[in-house]
Amino acid sequence: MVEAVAEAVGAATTGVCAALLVRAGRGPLVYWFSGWHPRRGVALGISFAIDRLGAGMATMVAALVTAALVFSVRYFEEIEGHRFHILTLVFMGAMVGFALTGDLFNMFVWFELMSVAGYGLTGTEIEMPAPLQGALNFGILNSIGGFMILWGIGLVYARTGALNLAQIGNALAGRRPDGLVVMAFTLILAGLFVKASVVPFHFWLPDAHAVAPTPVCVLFSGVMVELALYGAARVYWTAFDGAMSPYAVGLSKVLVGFGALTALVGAVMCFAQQHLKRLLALSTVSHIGLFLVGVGVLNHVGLAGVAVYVVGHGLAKASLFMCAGIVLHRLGGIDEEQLRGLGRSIPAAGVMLALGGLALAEVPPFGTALGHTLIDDGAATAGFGWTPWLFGLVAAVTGGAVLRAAGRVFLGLGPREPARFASERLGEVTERETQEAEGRTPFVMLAPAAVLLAGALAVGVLPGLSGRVERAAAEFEDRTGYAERVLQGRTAPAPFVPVEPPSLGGLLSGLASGAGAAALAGFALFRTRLLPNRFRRRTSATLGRGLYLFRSLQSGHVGDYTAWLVVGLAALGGLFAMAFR
Amino acid sequence: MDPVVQALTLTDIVVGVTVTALLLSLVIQAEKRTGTLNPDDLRPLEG
Repeated sequence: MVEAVAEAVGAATTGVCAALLVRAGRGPLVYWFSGWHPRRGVALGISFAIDRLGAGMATMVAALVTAALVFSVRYFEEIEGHRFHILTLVFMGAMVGFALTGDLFNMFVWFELMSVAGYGLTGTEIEMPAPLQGALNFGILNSIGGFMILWGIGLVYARTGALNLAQIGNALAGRRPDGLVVMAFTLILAGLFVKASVVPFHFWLPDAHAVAPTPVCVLFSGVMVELALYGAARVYWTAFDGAMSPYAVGLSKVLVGFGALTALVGAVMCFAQQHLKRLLALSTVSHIGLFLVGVGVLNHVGLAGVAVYVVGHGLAKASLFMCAGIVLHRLGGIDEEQLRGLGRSIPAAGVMLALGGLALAEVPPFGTALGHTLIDDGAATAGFGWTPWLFGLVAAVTGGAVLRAAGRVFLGLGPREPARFASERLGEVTERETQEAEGRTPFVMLAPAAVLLAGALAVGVLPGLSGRVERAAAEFEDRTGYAERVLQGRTAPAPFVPVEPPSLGGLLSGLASGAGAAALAGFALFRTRLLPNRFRRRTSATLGRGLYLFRSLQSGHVGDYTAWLVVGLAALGGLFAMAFR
Repeated sequence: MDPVVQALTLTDIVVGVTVTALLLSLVIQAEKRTGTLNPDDLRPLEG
């Protein structure tokens, strides 16, 4: 009964957000709570300023939450009270609020609510020590992130006297960003990057994903981390762009640099994982890196690419996590090596897992291919001509990891992996997470996975999507138009945007990265037959040792993670200080 | 006289209380399950 109510609320929210998306096509919708309209350009009230990208994010959030709730109906053994559904609905509300708001402090409040609900959801199986520690690591790191955002907001408020994003933008515009503005920007961005799992703030994400129940992982990887990046983009384009646009070149270099680092670290760590949920979590980290590159090029084509890629990736990743959940439910394990060959009894999940891997590899016509093409086009305009190589490499590595896992679990291929990469220690958690399986995979578990994967495909083939998203991205980046709409209520004419269709070369390169993914997976699975024995043993000794050291950075120790957070904050601040000199 | 600052502070106190309460309950559970509060001794999540 509770499940039905929760799903109905999720579906209704999806409908409302979709309606907002349609209405926002005519110009941003602005709503002032309790009627506190701005007077003479000063806004005391809290506003929701809903443009197309914001409403699109909100629709995506609500849709994934509904899918996760449907999936969870047969997934859990028993849920005490109605804790899971309540927390999930609060989580959805907070994320939708975060996507729609036009006020900086309101954004922070939704951020904290989203985080608290997330900590609660991660610790669903609180009786076991591992989820407890995962929830604590997640909680401590993200709370520090929230505190940094608050600090940045305090600095901004002290300088501008405003909390409304449009008004802050007007107050900061035209003036050279001095030390205080740069610090505030650093703090707010670093706090959001913690939630977005940008390297080196990312260490909490694999831990949280390893211990959180599958429907929760669907939401974390599908929308929560992307929403944090959306928040960073929103804060920049409405509040800081007026002051910082003369320095856009240096700023974009810093952001693209962090994005590339995140993408590469995430991809390498992803391939070295055997724990299916950690593998998918690290591929999320690497895709966040790709999204940061797309946002960081600071033009509307790149941002449009990110929007399309976020939708395509979110749907595909959600489907992949649901397949991992089906594997856990039916086969009782989550380690690739332990599950070798057992997947033959659930071919549907195997097919979906493989297709999801292809989606991660940016194979057209999945939406990820279209997104990647647009980002590369935008990056080329901004002078970053090397991004196709980065995207191709990351796509091949992460897609290859998923294909390799699919091959091992569902076809029994591949050599026995050395024990040091195993993840048995987490086995005790995963057995309890889901209830005793019957002979067949429940329809409510297969259907959402299939529907989401179909959605990821549909995004790539919808006609005219790229043009509409590019116009929406240009509206997102138009600070003066936004400010005029929010503070004066006047809808400015939309900025004229030459709409560029995605280049064919980009789409074809998706086929190349798909082939690369298949090749990598095949290489990993068949390497005993492909390479001469002595060469293989020597390289695997050195490579294995190097990978093991790299992986040991993910130590599970919250003090280590916090130290890396401080390093990241210092690096970000230092680089921004240099960029804004 | 700025009324917004006190609104900010009060709101943030409420937010902080919620987050702190949840984190503390997690910490108490951790202490009950594992008998220690030292992060060096809690190591089930390596990898």
